[in-house]
Amino acid sequence: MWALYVKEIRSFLSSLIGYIVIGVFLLITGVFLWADTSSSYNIFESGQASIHGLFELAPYVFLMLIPAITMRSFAEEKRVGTIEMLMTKPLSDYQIILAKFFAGFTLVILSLIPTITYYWCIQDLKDDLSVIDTGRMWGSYLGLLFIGGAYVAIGVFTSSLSKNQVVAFILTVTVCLIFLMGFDGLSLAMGEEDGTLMNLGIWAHYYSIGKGLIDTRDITYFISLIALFIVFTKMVLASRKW
Amino acid sequence: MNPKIRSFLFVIGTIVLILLINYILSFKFVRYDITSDQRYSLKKETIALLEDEDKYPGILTVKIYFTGELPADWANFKEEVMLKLDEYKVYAGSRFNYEFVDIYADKSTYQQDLEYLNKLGLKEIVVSDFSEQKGELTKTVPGIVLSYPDQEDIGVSLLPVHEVRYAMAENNRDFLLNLFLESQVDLEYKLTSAINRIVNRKKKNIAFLQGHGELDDQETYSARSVLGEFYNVSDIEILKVVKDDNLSYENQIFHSLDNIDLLIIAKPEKSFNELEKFVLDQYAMNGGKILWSLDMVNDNRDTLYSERGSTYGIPYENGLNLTDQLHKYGVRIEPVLLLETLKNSAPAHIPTPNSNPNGPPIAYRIVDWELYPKVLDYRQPINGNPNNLADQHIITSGLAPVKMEYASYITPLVKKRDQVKKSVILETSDSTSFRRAPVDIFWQIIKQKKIRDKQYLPTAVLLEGQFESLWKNRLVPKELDGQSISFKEESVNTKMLVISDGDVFKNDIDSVSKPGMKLPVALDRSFYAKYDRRLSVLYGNKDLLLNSVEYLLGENTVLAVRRKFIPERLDPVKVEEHKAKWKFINILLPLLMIALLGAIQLVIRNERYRK
Repeated sequence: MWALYVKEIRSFLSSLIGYIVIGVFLLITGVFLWADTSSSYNIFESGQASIHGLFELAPYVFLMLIPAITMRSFAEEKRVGTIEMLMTKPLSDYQIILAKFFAGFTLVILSLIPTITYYWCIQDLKDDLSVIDTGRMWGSYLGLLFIGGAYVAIGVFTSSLSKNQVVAFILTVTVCLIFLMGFDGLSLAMGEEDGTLMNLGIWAHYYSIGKGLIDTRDITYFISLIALFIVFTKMVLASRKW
Repeated sequence: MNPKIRSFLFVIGTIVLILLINYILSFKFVRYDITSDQRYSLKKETIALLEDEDKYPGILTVKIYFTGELPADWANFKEEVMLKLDEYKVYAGSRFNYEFVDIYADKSTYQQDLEYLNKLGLKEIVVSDFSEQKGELTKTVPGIVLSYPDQEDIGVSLLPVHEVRYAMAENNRDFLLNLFLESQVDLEYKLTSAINRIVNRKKKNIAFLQGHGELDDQETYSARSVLGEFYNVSDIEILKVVKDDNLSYENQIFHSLDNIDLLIIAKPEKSFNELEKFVLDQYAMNGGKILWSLDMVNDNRDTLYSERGSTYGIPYENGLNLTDQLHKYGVRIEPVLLLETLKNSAPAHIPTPNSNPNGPPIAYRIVDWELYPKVLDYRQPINGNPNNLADQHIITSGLAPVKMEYASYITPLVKKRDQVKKSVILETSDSTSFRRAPVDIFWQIIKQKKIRDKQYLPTAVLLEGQFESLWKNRLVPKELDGQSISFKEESVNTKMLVISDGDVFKNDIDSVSKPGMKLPVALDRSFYAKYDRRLSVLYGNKDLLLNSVEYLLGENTVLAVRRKFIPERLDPVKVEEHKAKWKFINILLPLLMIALLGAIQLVIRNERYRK
């Protein structure tokens, strides 16, 4: 499994796609947070010593970029036919899926690490009496990692559904959107009372972690979501043998 | 079994299992507060109060009126309230019970219940849920009522009702969520202060001294309403006492302050006479607490806003006749006006020459007015700043900058065999200057060159200990000659706070937004906030008032749980200076890191191929 994981990572890094995706992510967040003065995410304009804007913006940027990473995982193998080779390897389906999942997740981590310069920046430019709430910041980073993980799991699943990368891409965006905004929208439109629908969505849990209060329920939610799509993928792969 | 069916059953099983796990774990959950200030965790003072069976022996009942079928966001906030109450119960045990009351269940008593809640300061709110079809609207009262044996009920509002209504009217969900979050952080303070209040038998008495042109009702409206929640607030004029046949007039004057726990002297403009001073002195000697908020320079600001557009600051004659008394207690307020740096100044409307030749000669402009210093307790230990060594005082730690107007500074006096401890709790920044009165006050004062060589001038000094009477080894005022009064020449252990600005507890008055009306602005807000978002600064004046009063009255529990203001601001000067550099770094450096990763990967691959 480790070998497959390394191979996946290497294939991302030796092709341009990995760099383009991470580069575009960093460029978009960089421009929105620091350069575009008309953007509501702009940190200089807000005057706040907080990189909160990153955490509001990133779930949407990921929505476009993570599917671009994951759309290849199974769709490409299916199209080229290498999937048969992969299946004959002495690896269980889960090992194959997890290798692909963690490869995608590694790219998410790689894309977030450079944003630490944003923290250096506000640390340097804050006024002397201010204190940066680093606890909350790390909480938000954790939430963002979970969102990234959920997107990757969804992407790996949808990519197993089709041979066509474009179809996989569009499906991933759609499913991610449903989890990011769909349940919330439905809940609000229905005037739902107990919040069950809203709690199915990602945002409620992401917001809750971002408050700086790490709740085991939110962690359970994200891990469950990831596990669920991995199991779905397993079923799709198994269906080839039927 | 057919692999298809088996696989399918497996997936169904997994879904059920995952849902089940989530369901079970939703009851057994743990939360970790990772904020730097532990804002979601109970403070030790709250726990001490809840566990203290001497101070809090009775059974406290919390009635929760926050019921009804609430939309999800509201339900989440309500859950936070419930979690907090459960936490309280862990420490108070059987002395802390809560129950739900649905005033909408019984239509016949609804009106009566609502009136009762209104009297306790709780308001009904119509909940809208941002959905398109606004069919059935839920009503609720976002508040709780505390009941305690032999005490009047206390209402605690859990949400800022006006702002919540506004958020719903504007259909602004983000704003609403933010209000919920802020209210969540405020819960502990609200609950603990209410519990502290209800288990304490007696409401303490606070009086504003009158009779020397002090701040009036309207100017202290905000201060009075803030204090009125916790204390009996009244006015007192020493020389005007209610007639009591059993005592002589002079004797009544002597006892006029007896029932007052704390006396606030806010911006007197006329001199005190010897009799009043003597009464004040003996009030302090007997343990009465005094909060002095004094100007030593009359800024004549009415003249600044007249056609002249300029005015003079003139020292009050003989320092309001208080100089010797304050000197005796250990401080001197200097007859000067402070000038702060622009960065540490509050905004003000100032008449300036009109650049438009056709207009009136004077135009009013909002400028950072150096005569309105924003002062702080700078002793906070801050990384990298060697000037900030000792801990901040509990009154001023975590306080937002306190706005002063035409303030002066205090010199604490060192005396032989001094029994009074003096602590500076507010001071100016490290580059202050001042002008000795008389001084011209006009717009150009901020343009003039000045030497900012003064650092950390004290603007509030706390005095604690045993004070010596001003009348020690002196004859008592002639009015009291021959009266049977008990004179004390040294005080019991007591405290007073001296602030060298008379306006620190004065609220702005808004006479613009509603023509013909004068509306007091909250003490921690700037009047200009409504007109210029940039200026919507939050001042620490309100918290300074509450904290000082609580400290002087020895109520440290509430003081400790009050929410701290932790600024999270960028320094505008640094931003201007380094903006371009950081913009460059923040966009390019991350990209470079990724490029570097690519380069490393390329090198590794080439190495491998070479082998």
